[in-house]
Amino acid sequence: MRVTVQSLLLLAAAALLVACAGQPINTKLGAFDGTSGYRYRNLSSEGNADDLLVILAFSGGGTRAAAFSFGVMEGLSDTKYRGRNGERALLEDVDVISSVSGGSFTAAYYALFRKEFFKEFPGTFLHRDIEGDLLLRALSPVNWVRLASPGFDRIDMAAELYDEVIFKGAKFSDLLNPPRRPFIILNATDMTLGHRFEFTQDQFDLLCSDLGPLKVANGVAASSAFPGLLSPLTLKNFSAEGCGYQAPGWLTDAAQKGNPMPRYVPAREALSYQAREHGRPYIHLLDGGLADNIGLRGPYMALSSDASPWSVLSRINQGRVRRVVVITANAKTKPSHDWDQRRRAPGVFSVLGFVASGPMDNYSFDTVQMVRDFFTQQNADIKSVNDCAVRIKDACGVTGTDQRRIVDFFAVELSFDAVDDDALRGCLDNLPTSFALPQKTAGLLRVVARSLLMGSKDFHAAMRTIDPAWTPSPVTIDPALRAAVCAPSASR
Amino acid sequence: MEHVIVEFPERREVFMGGVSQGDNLNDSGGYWVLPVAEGWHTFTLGGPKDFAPESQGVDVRGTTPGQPLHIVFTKKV
Repeated sequence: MRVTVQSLLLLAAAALLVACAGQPINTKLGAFDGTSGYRYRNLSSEGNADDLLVILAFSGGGTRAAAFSFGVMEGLSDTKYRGRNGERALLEDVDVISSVSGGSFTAAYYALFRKEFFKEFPGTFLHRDIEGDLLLRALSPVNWVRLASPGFDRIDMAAELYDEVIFKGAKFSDLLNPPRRPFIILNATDMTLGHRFEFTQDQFDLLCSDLGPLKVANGVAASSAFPGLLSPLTLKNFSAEGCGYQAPGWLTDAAQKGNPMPRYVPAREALSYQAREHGRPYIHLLDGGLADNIGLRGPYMALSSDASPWSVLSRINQGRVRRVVVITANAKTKPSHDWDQRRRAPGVFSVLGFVASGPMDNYSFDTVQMVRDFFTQQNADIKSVNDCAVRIKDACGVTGTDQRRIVDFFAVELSFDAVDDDALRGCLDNLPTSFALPQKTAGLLRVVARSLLMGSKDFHAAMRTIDPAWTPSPVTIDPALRAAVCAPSASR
Repeated sequence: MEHVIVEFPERREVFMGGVSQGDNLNDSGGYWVLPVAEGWHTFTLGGPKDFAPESQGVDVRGTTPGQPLHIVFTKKV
């Protein structure tokens, strides 16, 4: 009898949860207000060096990417320099973190729990068997009932887990309390458009939805919803009900026909969320890595154009930014295969695995190169205009000369490709993409990230512009740790 | 990347697509050469509404840092 009562209670609880699951996870925006909510402009720099803009981009790659990006954060915390108000860490100057998939766990945790970040994040996430936790939940009979309902899917179960054990019920509105940088951009992929979808209020305005009450765990879950393993995260698009949305001028300018495609297409597609005819009442989101696996496309738009809610180019024109440092933590791997040792073609799983990651890795390489080329061109353009002004002044004594604002641009890419030691690089390139890594593997990734940061010539150049007396902190990779992870018999 | 200069006889804040791009004039009395993305932009000025036109949409293409596009606002008398 007791068993029957327990079963009934269990079923009742499941039915209640199923009923709750039928509701959309996002809420309607009462009335559009382009000034409030989680936006870059609403976050204060709180003591940041005003004219120094530091952007971090964290790639996907499961716990491997989370540990690698965490190591970069540790390195930035160790990067002490002498500023106007005494010694400070470069980490305090980070203005924006744009992240994808595994990197989104690091970014979101830092934004929410800054004081406990270095102490708590390894135990809370890096050393946790998230995959095992998800499997346990999937085996629970309560979740069988819930998963059988149309309003609850595997992604919702993952978001619940992340919310309970990692993000502790935090909502996006909590990122405004206090309202300080860095501005976190969690990137997912809109399945219909195949384009980036950001968890920012500027993006949610287009859905007439309020980002504030949404759990941060939902944003991280969407950003890391690897196709097949997790289902897409579904948002309700309330735009058909109206909210008085007014597109900003820069967006309507960018959406003018005839504009270059990289500016026109994203703007046109952003406005498509508001389309009344052939509208899209639901938006399905998958892993951000499908559109941009290093989270650098958004920052590139902000750096190179006005077609971004946080246009860096506009801030440069305003004279508010003199130095720009973009640090990319790219945890991509190049697993070795024996495909070419055999005449027989690789099997279907090998082909699917390659198709899932190969094109994105190439695209990521191109994005990093675009940022580098853009910075090189900008540095050259500034020099050309201002050298000309100096020559005119010297030759003709003319004082009123046209000038470009002086800005120094630095692009720092941290990836396993930059590891000089072939054996270590080979070891890192064969680490798995999963949400369960041995503690020592996470430890090795952290120290490799710090070592790459401190060894980067581009980072040295950036730091010496900020503080000419700066010197990198030495980083040693413990041979025992390396052997424990990279020995042929090691479990990775 | 394209380049523009916004001409007006006084120092004024320049707005492009509704977003400030700083002042038109630099401290030497010359103009700031503003880098902008290629394509359509709507320009206007801040301060008193004593300029014409009120705003202008311009398709910015084919400029260089040394040969920027001049966008001219005149002072109303």
